[in-house]
Amino acid sequence: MKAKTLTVAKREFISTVATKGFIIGVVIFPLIMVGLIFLIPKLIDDTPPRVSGTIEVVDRSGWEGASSIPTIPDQLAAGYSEEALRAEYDMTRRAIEQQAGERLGEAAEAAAGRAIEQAMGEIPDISVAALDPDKSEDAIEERKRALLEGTPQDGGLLAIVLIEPNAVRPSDELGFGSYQITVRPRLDDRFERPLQQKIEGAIRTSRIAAAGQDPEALSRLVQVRSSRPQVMTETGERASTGGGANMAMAGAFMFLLWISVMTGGQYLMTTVIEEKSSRVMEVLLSAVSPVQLMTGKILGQMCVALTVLLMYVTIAILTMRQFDLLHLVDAGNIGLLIVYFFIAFFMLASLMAAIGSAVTEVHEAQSLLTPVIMVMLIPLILWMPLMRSPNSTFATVCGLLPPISPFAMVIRLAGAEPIPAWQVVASILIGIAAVFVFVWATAKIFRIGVLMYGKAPNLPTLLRWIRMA
Amino acid sequence: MADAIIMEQVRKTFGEKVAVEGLDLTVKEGGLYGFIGPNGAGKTTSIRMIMSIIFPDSGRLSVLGKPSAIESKDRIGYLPEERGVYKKMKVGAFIEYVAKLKGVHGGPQLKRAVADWLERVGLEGELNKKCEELSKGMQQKVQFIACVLPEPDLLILDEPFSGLDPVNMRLMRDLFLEQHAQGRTLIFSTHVMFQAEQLCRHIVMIDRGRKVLDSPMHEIRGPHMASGIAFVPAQGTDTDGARIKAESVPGVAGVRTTEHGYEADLEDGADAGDVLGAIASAVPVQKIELRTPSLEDIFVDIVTRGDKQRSEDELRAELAGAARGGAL
Repeated sequence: MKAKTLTVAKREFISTVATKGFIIGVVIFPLIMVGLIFLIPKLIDDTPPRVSGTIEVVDRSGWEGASSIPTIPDQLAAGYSEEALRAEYDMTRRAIEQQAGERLGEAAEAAAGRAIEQAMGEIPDISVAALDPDKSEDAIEERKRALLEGTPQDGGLLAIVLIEPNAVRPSDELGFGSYQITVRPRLDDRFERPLQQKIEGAIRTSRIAAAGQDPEALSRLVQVRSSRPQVMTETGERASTGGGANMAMAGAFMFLLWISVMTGGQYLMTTVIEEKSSRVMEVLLSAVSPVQLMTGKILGQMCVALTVLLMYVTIAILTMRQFDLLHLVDAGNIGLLIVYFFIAFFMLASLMAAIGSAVTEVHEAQSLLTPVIMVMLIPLILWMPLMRSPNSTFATVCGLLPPISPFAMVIRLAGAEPIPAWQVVASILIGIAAVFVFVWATAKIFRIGVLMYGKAPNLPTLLRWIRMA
Repeated sequence: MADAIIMEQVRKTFGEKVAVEGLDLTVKEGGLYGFIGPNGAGKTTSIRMIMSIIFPDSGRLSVLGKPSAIESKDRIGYLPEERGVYKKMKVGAFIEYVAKLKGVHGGPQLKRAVADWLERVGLEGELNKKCEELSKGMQQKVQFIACVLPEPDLLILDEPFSGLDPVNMRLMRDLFLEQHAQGRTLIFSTHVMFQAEQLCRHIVMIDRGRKVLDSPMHEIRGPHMASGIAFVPAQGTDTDGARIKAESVPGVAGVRTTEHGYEADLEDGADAGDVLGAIASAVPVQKIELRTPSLEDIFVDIVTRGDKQRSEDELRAELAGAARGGAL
């Protein structure tokens, strides 16, 4: 009796794994994905086009400049000088490289350097021209038409900046004024933000000078070099990666669990339908009982799903070792991941086996499959809130409620606060109990369904079958 | 001889529909039984119950000395009516798989047995082809191999000839007879009466879920002796005149026109031999014979006698409905 079940399981496993579909879908596809992650940055040239042209400034602030602080257009011009831009680029690069080094290890540093170079592109060639502050509105509007001509690379007009009259010295009624920028269409968006920052910087500096203070001294006073927090671990302190990496980790493991369980479940449903529609079912049933067949098939597909899970987890762990992120993985959680895998798999597999046995063609399965997929999507859609507040009522309920509890628990375990141990135990016990109920109900449906041809049954019919047998 | 199958008052319903009702059946070991009846009569349901694929609502069942086939599944070979193979599986692997499910141990011996059988049915060289590459008839032979390879004691074949060409029908018939000669009990069902007539030693007729006949082949014809005399008038004779003359022969109840000539129905109690002689001397004929009833005639006769509501024509249409099988 047992030998027959194992014969079924073995065939199920081999006939699923040794197909082109499985190898392409489960092995080659992720490899391609991983390859692309490394390849795409090299394929996509993210370098912004080199901008070249003039920014015209109508400065109505009335700031004439003082000993060390020039007028706003002059400050802008200095800001866009080649030396200033180069210094700025070098500083940004050093900061990012340092951060990347701390975070991802030396290996990533070089990669990050390349990425920054690409992201920043060539130093632009931008000149600043001051217009007559008394220029009429009509004349300015007229000038703005010039923004529509040429390209951002041909040295023409790039932007017109209007500094409002009270930008530097406040008026009694209106307080401080601001500025307006009009840019040409189709300008790279990486141009606008620095322009805003430079104008705001110039206005700020001018205000400080106008108030009789020394801008440089003030700037030294308000600047504090920021420092990254260190996390205390068993093996010593290390730089915190922030919540992001932890969250990504929880999401990733839940997703691995989900994809492996779904893969096995899908295959199970299709092979049951195939056996029914190809009418090989009755030959099988003349040799084994429906329950033996179902058990064998579920065990076979469990090995398929486990293969998928272990392969993905191994890839994930190897990748994390490469990037020195292994400390993020808790060995205990991996153990629980395996426990939750079995619970999740048997619940989903029995649902899929029941659906597969009830219908004759794959397309008939659709209406029965939809509610299952909807429920299965919950953890995928809601992993963020589950993770952020793992002890909210909603998260607690999700963690105890089959069939989504295994997925919810994997997320909650990696969540922002520790969850009570009793909930882990309870979720496992409820999960195991649910597995028994699911498998029992499926065995009933399976026994009747496998020899039932014709009109696909609906949900009430399935429930009747469960009560019947 | 022991009984391979015993069924007592077996009843099976599917919802409102009664598929099998009050079925008593005994199949002797080593017998060659034919289950006949029109489509939907309950043949497949009975066979599935014998196989313990479905279970009777009430009644007693015993297969190979066990209360249900579950305990003796490995000793039963079953070729279901709805035949199927794993499309993507290789022919050899498929046969091996089914054999293993029947408790045959894998290994080189099994592989050799599979190759031998494939050669016997003319499928040598198909061992490593995928099942889907085979024609329907070839797939049927593959399934037959899977069914007999574990050397079962009891062989149940549900409509084994459907979809086969005449050459393969003959091949299959020879293989069945060989299995029978080796002492196995064979049961096969068909709705094509002619096939049963040529092959079976014992006939069980089922109609609308009830057994209507259960007897050895040689005893069936006894009470259903010649029902008429078929004749074809000699060339150049006045056919209408011949008919009138034949009608006036004593013992003839009436003369009907048939496809090839005429048929004289006998009056009750009339001796068929005497009437045949009388017609032959009264009418110049090129051919004259006693018409012995076919299984189909017998079936129609039994059913119409038992149920006056059903007309003969209807019943014959029912039998012809899906009857596409031919002579063996």
